[in-house]
Amino acid sequence: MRLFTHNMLSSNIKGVANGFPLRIEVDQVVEKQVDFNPDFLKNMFPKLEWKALVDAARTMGYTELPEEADSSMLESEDFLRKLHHALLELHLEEGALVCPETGRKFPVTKGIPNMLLHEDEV
Amino acid sequence: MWYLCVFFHRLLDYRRAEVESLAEMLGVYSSLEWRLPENQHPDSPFHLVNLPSEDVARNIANRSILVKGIYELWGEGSSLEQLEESIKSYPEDRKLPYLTCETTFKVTVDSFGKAISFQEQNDRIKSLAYIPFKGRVNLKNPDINFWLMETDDYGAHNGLPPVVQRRIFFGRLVGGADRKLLPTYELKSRRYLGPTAMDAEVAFLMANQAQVMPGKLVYDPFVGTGSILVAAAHFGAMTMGADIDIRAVRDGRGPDCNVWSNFKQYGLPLPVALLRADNNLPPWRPGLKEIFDAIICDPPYGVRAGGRKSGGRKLLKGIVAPYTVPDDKRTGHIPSTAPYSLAECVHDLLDLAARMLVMGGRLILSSRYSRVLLTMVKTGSYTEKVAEAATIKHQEFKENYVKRLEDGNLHSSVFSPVHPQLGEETDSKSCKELKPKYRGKYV
Repeated sequence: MRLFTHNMLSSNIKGVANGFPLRIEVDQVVEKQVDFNPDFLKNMFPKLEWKALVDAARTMGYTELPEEADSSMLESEDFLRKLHHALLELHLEEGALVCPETGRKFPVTKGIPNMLLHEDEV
Repeated sequence: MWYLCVFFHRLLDYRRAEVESLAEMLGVYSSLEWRLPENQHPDSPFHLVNLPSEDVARNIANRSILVKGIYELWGEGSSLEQLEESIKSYPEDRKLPYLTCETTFKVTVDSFGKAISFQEQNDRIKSLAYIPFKGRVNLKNPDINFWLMETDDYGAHNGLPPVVQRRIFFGRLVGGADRKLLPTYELKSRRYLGPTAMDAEVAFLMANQAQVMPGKLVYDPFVGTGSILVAAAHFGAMTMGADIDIRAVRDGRGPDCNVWSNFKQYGLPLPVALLRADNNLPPWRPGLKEIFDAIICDPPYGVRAGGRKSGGRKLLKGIVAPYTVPDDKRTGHIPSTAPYSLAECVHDLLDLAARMLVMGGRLILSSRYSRVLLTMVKTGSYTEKVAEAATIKHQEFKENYVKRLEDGNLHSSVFSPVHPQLGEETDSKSCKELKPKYRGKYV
C-alpha cells in the first residue's frame, strides 16, 4: 500500500465520526521505483491531506517532507521528487491500518489493505 | 476536411462513439460531423467524418481500436469509370505531393463482404493507370499507402448490412488502428484469468471511451483480475482497483499468477493501489472527492458472477443480531457477505462516480443484459441534494424492480425479441423464418 492510498482511506465502521487519518502499524516497508510524473503529482497535490501524508511518511521512516506545503512549492523539482517518493515509492508491504477512534486494525498483507468490515461493524 | 473513415465490422454501436471520444481527448471540442457515403447502410463500415486536420485524423486512427483506417478520399463511384472521373476531378494540388518520384507507394485492394481474387486485384490496380504515379513501388514499407476499397451486392444472407449498390472508394491512408495490440493482450495468453475477465478488444474500447491518457487516474471498483486496468495502463494511466474478494486481489493463483503479474507480463506500470473494499460501504475519507479521471468497470450482474456486499443475508433482513466477533478471533476473521442486487450495485456505482470523478470525468460500465457499453460524463458537482434525490429514485426503482422480478417479467423484458412486430402468437418455427438474416448490431 502506497501513502497515496493511505491518504484516501478512512475507517468507515458504523458510528465512527473521525476515521481519518488511519494510524499506520509498520511490520515491513519496501521501496519500489516508479516513473516520475510531475503532472500527476501537480494534479493530485490539491486533493491531498498534507498533514496526514507527512505523519504517515514519518511512521514509514521518511522525514524529508516539509511540515507545511502550498501549491507554490510545486515549481520546485526537489519538492516534487520528495513528494513522488513519499506518495508513490514507499510501500507498506506488511502491517496494519488502525482506526483512530476504535483501535480496530485493518490488516495490510502483501501490500493490500483489507478494508472490509466485520458483521458487527456494518 | 472530410475524411473517409472505414471501420472494422465489430461492435457497431461504438465505432462512431470511439472516434468522437478520441477527438475530444485530442482537443477537438466541437461535436464531429458525420455523413454516410451514397447508398450505404448505417452499419456498413464506410463513413465520412469531418476532422480539423490530418494530424488529428492520424492520431485518432492510430489510437483507436475499431478504425480500420482513415483515408483522404480521392474518389468514389458506383463503377470503375465513375471512380476514374471522380479521381480525375479531385484537385491536382492535393494529389501531386503524394505522387512524386521521391516517394514509395503501395496500392492495396480491399473489399467488404466478398473476396476479390488475386487476378482481379491486379486488374483493379492496373485500371488505375490514369493516376500519374511517379514513385517507386514498395510493398513492405511504403511512404504512402493507397487503398482501393469496394463493396458490392453479396446477397442478403450472410449477416451483413444490405448493400443497395456497388460502391468503390479510392483514398490515401492517413492512419489506422494498431490491432496488433489484440493478439498481444488476448486473454488466452494472459496468466491470471477469472470467469469474467474482460476481453481485450472491449477493454481497449473502454479505455478509449474513458479518454485514458498518461498521468490520469483510473479506478475500477470491481477489479477482479485487473483485465480492464491492463488496457488503461497500456495507455499510460495510473490505475487503482478494489474488489470485495480478497482472493482475487491478494492471492490470485500463486506468486506469479495474480493481478500484479498480469501487469508485469506486459511490462506495464503496476497499479498505484489494490485494495479490498466493499463498494456498498466505500472506505473513502470524508471530504475526498473529484479525484478519479475515469471509473471503468464491469459490475457483477449475477450472470457469470454475482455481487457480494458486507453483512450476512439474515443480518441484513434483521432476522439475527450481528455476530460479535470474539477479541481473540478478530485477526483473520472472514466476515460474511450477502448478495448484492444489481439495482443497489448500480446505484452505489453512480453515487461513487458522481462524488469521486473530476468534472468532465467519465464512468464507463458494461452491461451484460443488453450487451451495451455505457459511457457517462460528469457535468455537475456532487451535492447532498443530488445524493438524496438519487437515493429516493433508487428506492423507487428497487421496489418496482423487485415487483417485476416477482412477476417474472424481468426475463421477458430483458430477452424480448428485437423485432416485436412479429407478434407473440406466431409459433417458434415461423418466427425463425421471419427473422431477418441481418440482425443489426449484434456482431
